[in-house]
Amino acid sequence: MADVWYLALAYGIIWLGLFGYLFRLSRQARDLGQELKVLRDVLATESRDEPQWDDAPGFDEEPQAAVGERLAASHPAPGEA
Amino acid sequence: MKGLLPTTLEPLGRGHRLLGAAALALILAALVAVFVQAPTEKHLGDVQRIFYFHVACAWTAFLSFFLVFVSSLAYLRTRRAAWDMLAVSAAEIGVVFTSIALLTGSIWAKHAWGTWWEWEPRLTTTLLLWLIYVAYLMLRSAIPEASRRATFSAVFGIVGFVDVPIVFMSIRWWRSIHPAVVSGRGMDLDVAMYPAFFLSLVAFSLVFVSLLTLRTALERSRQQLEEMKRRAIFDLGGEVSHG
Repeated sequence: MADVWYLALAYGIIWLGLFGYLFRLSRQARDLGQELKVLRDVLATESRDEPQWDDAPGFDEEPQAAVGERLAASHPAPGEA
Repeated sequence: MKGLLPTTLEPLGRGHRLLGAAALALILAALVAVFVQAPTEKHLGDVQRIFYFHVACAWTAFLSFFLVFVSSLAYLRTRRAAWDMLAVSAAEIGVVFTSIALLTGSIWAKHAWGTWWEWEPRLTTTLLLWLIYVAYLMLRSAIPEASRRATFSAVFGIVGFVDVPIVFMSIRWWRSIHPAVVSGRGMDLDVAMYPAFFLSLVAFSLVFVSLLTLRTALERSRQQLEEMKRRAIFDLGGEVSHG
C-alpha cells in the first residue's frame, strides 16, 4: 500500500509541475493581452483628444503620465499586488 | 502609432497545436507503457515505475540547459535578441524539469534508501544545477537594461552549463549510491523496460519542444509590447513637447 502512495505522490508532483507551469504561461499570456488592450485604449483616447490638448488643464505633463499610470494600474509591480 | 500595435499577441499556429496534441498523445502512450507494459521490479515493486518519468524529466532538463548554452554562445556571437529569448525560455523550462526530477527522485529515495535526501554526488550536483539556473533567472530579473541583461545572462548560461556533464559523470567519478542507467558497459536496464523508458524520453522531449515554442512566443510578445510601450511614451512625450 505504501508503494502506491509513493507512486501517486511522485506522479502527482509531475502533473502538478507540468500543468502548473502551463497554467502560469497561459496567465502570463492573458496578462500581456490585457496590457496590450490598455495600451491600445490609451493611445486611442490620446489620439481622439489630440485637437483639444491645447485647452486641457495640466497639458504639459499629463499624456505621458496618463500612459504610465494606466499601465501601472493594469500591471502593478511585483510586491505591490 | 496606434496602427503599429498588434491587435492580439503573437498567435500560435496550427503547427504548435499539432505539436501539443502529439506530445499529449505520446505522454498517454508512455503512461500505458509504464503502468501496463513494463514489468514490476522485484526489489522496489511498483515504486520503481517512478524511474521512467523521473529520468525523462532529468533528460529534458539537460536538453534545456544545453539549449541555454548553445543560445548563449549564439547570442554573444550575433547579438540577436532571438537567441536571448530562446535561452531564457529554455532556462525556465529546465528549472521546472529539474525541480520535478529532484522531487520525484527524493520520493524514490525515501522508498529505496529510507531517506528523503542523501548528500551523495548525483543529488548534490543536481541541486547545484538547479540553484545555478534559478540564479540565472534571478539575475535576469535584476537587470533592467535589455542588452546588458542578455550579455550577463549569456555568460552565466555558458559558465553554468559546466555543471551538466559533472552531474552526468558524477556517479562514475565519485562513490555514489545513485543507480546508473547508462554505465561504461552500456544500458543497465531490463530489456522489457526499454519501451516504457524510451517512449518516456521521446514524450518528454516533445513536451519540451511544445513548451519551448509556447514560452518563446510569449517572450517575443512581451518584448514587442515593451518596445511598443517605450515608443508610445516617447511619441506622446514628443507630441507634448512639440505641442
